[in-house]
Amino acid sequence: MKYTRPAFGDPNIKTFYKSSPFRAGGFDVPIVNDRPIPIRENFKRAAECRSPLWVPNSATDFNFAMLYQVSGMPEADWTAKERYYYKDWWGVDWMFVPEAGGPMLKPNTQFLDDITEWEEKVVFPDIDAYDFEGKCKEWLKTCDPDKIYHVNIGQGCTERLVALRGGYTDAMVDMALEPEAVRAFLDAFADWVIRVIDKVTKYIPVDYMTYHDDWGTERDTFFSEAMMEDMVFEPTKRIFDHMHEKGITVQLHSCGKIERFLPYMIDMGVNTLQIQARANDFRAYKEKYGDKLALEVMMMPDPSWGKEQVLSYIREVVDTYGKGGGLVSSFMHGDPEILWDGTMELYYYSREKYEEERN
Amino acid sequence: MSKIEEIASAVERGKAKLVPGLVEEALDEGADPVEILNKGMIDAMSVVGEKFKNNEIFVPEMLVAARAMKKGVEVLKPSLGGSSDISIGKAVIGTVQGDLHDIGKNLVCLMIESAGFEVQDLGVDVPAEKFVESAADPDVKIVGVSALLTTTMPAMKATVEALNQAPNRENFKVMVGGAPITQEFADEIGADAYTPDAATAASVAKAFVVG
Repeated sequence: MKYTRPAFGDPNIKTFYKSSPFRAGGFDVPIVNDRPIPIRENFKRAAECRSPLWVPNSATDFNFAMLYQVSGMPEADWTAKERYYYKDWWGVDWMFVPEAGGPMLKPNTQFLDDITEWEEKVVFPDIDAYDFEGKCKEWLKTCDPDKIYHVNIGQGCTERLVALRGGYTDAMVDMALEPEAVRAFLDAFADWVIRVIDKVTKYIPVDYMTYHDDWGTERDTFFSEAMMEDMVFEPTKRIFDHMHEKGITVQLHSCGKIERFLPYMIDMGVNTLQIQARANDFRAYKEKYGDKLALEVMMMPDPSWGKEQVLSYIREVVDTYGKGGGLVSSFMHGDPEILWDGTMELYYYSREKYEEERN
Repeated sequence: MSKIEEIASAVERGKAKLVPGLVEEALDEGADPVEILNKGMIDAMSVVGEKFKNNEIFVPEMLVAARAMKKGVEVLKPSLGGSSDISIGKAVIGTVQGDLHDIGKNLVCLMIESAGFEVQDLGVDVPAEKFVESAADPDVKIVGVSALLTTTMPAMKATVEALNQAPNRENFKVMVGGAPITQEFADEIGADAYTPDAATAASVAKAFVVG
């Protein structure tokens, strides 16, 4: 062990309060002091699979916002304890379901009953009617300028199609039977997303954006490569290209087993992937695409584990997925001592690991 | 290619606009309606199910094939002389309380219906009592319980436990499925079967009923 980990409660180490838009309360996270290069530079290296100096930890290295926080668009209160209904900024009905931990399309509702009528019936949200400037400035006040500005812009092409059509079933039938209408809608949607990106980046020097589009079931992708090439990849790539033009690192969040789309993701310019551990073989992906595509691997220790087991697990994740960079992570824990020691271990162990690699 | 083979091919390719006309033509030519149903549609959907299971086709293709079959059945039904002739039993299917995901449940409904069952779709966010109430129908042979979220697995457990207490429990089989569900979990909660995909669900349900 080259670097001594500061002991829990070390008076020379300050903490900061980290909250999440997805849960009530927050955590006192220790501040890592001795960064040999700026956090921003290290993050770029990690996301571009170029030897970073440590594994970026979103808990300590990022300022994070959901799009609603920087736009004022209507959004669910994720801390709500009771079910309730709300409309999103497209006019689609949602129900927040506390027992499921998130919002879902309100059952038996359908905003658009025929995709071929999208031009007459879908009104794209007027982003100029929202106070992006005020919200972005408000959020920036809560940020540490030395950390990454990370904004999750939410629903992507297929997810918006699904939301408008009241669920996956009709949206997928549309993709099979009405490809022209779907293609036209998704092209217009991409134009609109690009305007949203422009609006956010006008006020925030965004480093990192997460784009959300679920493409798979537990066992495979929802759609064939041909269908995605025909309708989805092109508008998605335009969105990612625009992010890149703005100097933004692109993260794709996609649920399900999306292995067959990995080569396409690389071609589209995805930098980091946020995907389901349960449905995907991270080790195989790292092996095959580890020099081109970074993985976000959240530290998810079993809640019953003691401190030593958690630290050992953190080292294992770094060893397995950190090679050559290409690993972005996050560590939070309800036990303050484990949170402290885990944060330090992730930082210092990965520094030792990358130094070893460079030598 | 015989007319029935043409129907099967159109169903497999999801040609909903073609299938009703082909069924009418087959009937006009004197084809046996039961054979049209079994060979032209149910067998075709089995092929679709197999292809889906083997990752040769994807969810949209399966959905449009099932819809094409439905269109054909609408034309065929009057010639079959009543629904009892075409149904091998009744299946009630739903997603558990607290879970609003429907695509997996919808696929299972379509495939089980395509295998010859009369399906009652209970929808999503279904309380355990609703499953039990629906299963009280003496014609029900299969109760399908779906959950997509790990957070709603306890609701699946509660639902299966409630079904297992039903006085007519020996009349129906309880089948479970969904992304986080495993055979081990199904065994633990006392379900009769776990199936990993909609095509397998249809063949297992059919095996339970017709052997």
